[in-house]
Amino acid sequence: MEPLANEGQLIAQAQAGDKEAVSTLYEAYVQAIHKYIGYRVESDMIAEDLTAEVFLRMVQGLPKYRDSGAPFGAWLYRIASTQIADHYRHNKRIVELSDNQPSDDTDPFGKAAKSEERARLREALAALPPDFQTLLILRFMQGQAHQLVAATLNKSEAAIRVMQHRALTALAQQLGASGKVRSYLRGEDS
Amino acid sequence: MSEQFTNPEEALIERLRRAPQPELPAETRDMIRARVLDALDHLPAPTPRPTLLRPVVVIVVVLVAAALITGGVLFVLSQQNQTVVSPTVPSEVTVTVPPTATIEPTLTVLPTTPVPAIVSSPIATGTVVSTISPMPVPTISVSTIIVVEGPVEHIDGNIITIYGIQVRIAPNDPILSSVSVGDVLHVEGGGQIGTNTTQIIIVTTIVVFVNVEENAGVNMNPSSGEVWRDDGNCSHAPPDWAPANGWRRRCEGKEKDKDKGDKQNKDDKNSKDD
Repeated sequence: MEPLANEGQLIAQAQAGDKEAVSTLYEAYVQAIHKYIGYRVESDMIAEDLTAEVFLRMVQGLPKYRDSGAPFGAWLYRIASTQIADHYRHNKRIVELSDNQPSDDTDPFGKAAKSEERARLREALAALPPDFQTLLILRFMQGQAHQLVAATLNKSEAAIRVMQHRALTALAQQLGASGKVRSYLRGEDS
Repeated sequence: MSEQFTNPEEALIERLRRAPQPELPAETRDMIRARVLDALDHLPAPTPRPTLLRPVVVIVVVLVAAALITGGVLFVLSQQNQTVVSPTVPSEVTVTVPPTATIEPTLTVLPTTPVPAIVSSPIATGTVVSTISPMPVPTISVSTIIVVEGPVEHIDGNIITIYGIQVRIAPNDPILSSVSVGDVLHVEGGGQIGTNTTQIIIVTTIVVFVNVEENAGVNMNPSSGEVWRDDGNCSHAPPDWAPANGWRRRCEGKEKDKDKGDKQNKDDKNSKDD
């Protein structure tokens, strides 16, 4: 996700209450924020609610926003992280299967496979520390730059480069374990 | 900077990259946008934040205030140092000095006999007119009565000199006819005292003989101080109390013995009368 060319001007206009500017910023970041949240929470409905909450907080926080040199997107990801943490703090963690995904009759097998893969990854990620989850989602799923990831996690880029190896190793271990469990449940002997 | 990943890491990264992404439905996205824009309309009016001055601004303000206070104090102190004597003080002050000064003439008198006594009676009123200056130099004029007693050194008309001090005697003073060099006089009078004591001029008011030079044919009545001198002039007859000392023989043609006889007869006559 690249920053908007006139992002600074748009932010200033949004701070002044310009709806067009606010709408432009929303369109630029809403999908990325939703995808990030979608892999952090157990259901798409919760992801949509939390996504809406992030942008409502954005509108409320814009008057206080000061450009510190960090990407604007990093500010939004941090709001999202806070909303996710609040969600898990107020609700017991419920591990849901992807049964609540909307049905798509056009490609039922393909849809099921994607849903299974997504559920598998989300389950493995949920077992990792929040910083590892954020790093893996932003850095490898969304292809964000080290700078944005570092600003989101409030760490240096060098720390992010080191941390990403540990996060990948941890995720691989979770996926391997979950793979063994699933193989066992399917009756496949390894 | 290219990153180095192991093959399992590369495989996992590729898996994450291809992971199915949750899509936000368009209607949901529009609905959320509508909520956001609606919230923008209902945002509470931005209340002015309680402005906490930034530390830098506070420090600058404090420094400026300190500089102003310091400058003010220094300015006040400098003004106090430059304060001149109040103009209410008159620039010229006239002071009347009480006559407490005893003027002692600095005459150097040789130890001769008799020793002149110069007494300055401080019956004077001094007026000191001084101006305020670092070194006030008052001008003092003092009237005095000077007493000089000593031998006459020189006579020039009515001015005689005693120990270098010129004494001006009244021209009609009869003492001028009898005084001569060597006589010891007691002189009192007024005069002017300048910076040079040798220039004192005394206008006498009292002049009396203290002693007369011996062996000079001068006779003095001890009781009255009257002096008779045989100056060789036969018109100046000796008084009764003074011995003739040859004046009668010279001026009246009488013998010495006769003088003696006259005197003896005079004594006999006095005794007969007794």
